[in-house]
Amino acid sequence: MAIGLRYISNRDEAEDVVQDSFVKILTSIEEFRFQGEGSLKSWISRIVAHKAVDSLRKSERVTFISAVPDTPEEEEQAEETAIERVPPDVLTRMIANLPSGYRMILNMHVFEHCTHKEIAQRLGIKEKSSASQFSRAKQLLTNMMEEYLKQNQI
Amino acid sequence: MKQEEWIQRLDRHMDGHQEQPSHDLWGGIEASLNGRTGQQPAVQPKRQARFVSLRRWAAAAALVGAMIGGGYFYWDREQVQQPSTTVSPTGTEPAILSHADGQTDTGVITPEQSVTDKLMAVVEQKIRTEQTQIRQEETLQAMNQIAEQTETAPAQETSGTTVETAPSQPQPDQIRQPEHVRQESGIVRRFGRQVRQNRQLALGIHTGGNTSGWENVNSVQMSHITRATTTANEAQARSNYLESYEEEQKHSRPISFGLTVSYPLTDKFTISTGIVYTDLHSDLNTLTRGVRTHKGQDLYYIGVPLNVQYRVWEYKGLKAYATAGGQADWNVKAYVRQDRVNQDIKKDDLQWSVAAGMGIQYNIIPQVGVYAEPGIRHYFNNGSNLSNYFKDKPTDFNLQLGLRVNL
Repeated sequence: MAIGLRYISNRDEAEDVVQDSFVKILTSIEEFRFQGEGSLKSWISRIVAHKAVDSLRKSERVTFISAVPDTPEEEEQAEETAIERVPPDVLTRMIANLPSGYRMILNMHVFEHCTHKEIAQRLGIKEKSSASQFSRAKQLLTNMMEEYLKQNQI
Repeated sequence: MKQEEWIQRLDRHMDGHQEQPSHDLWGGIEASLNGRTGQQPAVQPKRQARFVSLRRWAAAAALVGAMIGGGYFYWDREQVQQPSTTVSPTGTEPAILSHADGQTDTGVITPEQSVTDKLMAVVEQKIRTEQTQIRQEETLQAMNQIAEQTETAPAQETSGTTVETAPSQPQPDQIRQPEHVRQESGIVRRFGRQVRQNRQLALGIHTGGNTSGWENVNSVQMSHITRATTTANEAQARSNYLESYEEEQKHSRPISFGLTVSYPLTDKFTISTGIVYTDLHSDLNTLTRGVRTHKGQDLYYIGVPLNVQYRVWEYKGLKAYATAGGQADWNVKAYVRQDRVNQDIKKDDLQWSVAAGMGIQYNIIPQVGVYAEPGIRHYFNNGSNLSNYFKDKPTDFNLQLGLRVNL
């Protein structure tokens, strides 16, 4: 559910994605090949993430903003942010509130561990575009986290 | 590296985070699973669904229907006739035979007679007329000779109905002399000279082969009366009849339609056989003394081919191949059509041929494909007298279309 909510801000729609994902998991369980501890969790997570991406592309108008180079000041600012001080559920909401393109690329790169090349192939964009979109997404998320921390004086 | 560190921190921080779904999420999952399992029996091995494209079946059915329909219209086409001889087959009025030069002959023809009998009667009338003219010419020549010798040639009065001759000469039979003989005496003489000159040629033409009745062989239309000639006069009449005889044959290039099966010998080689339908159409035009006659000759063959194919190229359902082999064709039906009347003729003998060429085949479904095989085919002379495309062009381009079942 947490994976679905990271991709899709609407809870009902996220639950639909999770429901469809579990139906597929349970009906295709014979296709799973155990490859060590954590492989089942990874397999399930991958299915849910793929379903979420497909649902997102169908329902929302996903736009990929053209590449904007990051400035050195922004990069330094991102590194200092205390990510660990933001609760995970809040972070989940923050990620879900990112623009759809940023959201997809950040989830795929950070949580699915896809390279920018793989992301570009899957979404039909250029590799450079994926990298720049991620940088922008990271910047926005950092700003959100800092804003949250300031408001809550954590 | 710092970006990588940020990613790892975020991933570690979110790892293991769980969100609670709504209480009825599992119910929805259960309902979906029950819906799927309800359609299948409890114990059933998993089978991969086979998707049969209905579009392909529809395309195959449409193509077969188009080929059958097109073949029907092609084979059932009406012949365009341009008879230059007009015979009134009905009514009590006498039939009138019109010539190109405006002459007319009348014959007594009753409606009860068949077209064949009518034509025979007309030709017989013509022969009698010619014979009459010949006798009259000979008589006139003899009389002229006598007149020159004696210088007291009796007056000859020729009328439109009788001819008087010298007493020393044997009286010819009382014959009716058509008026046009006197008017066209020059033509008659010229006719006589031409007869002597062309006699050999005329005989050469009509010895192409003769059969009984009105059967047409080598497009030479002959009356049976002309066959039974023993006297010089009748031979003369035959020569006269064939004077200025022109014959034109146009053989249409055949297209074959086949239904064959193929069996793979190796990965590349395939052997195929089946049945092939061939329709030969010929236009036979004759011109006799200004009278043009048109006939259409249709020969239908059923052949059994035996070919070996070598696959050259293949992509999905489309393949190109080289083919070579032989075929035996049986003439199952033969007739001549004139004035919208079909007349059966003697069938052709067994026809052997060999061919080589390229072919292209598209498999509508894996088991059935349509093919086109253009190539060169050579037809061996089977020794028959039937004039057709096989004899006119024994080695020529050939196109075969059809359906093939892949075993």
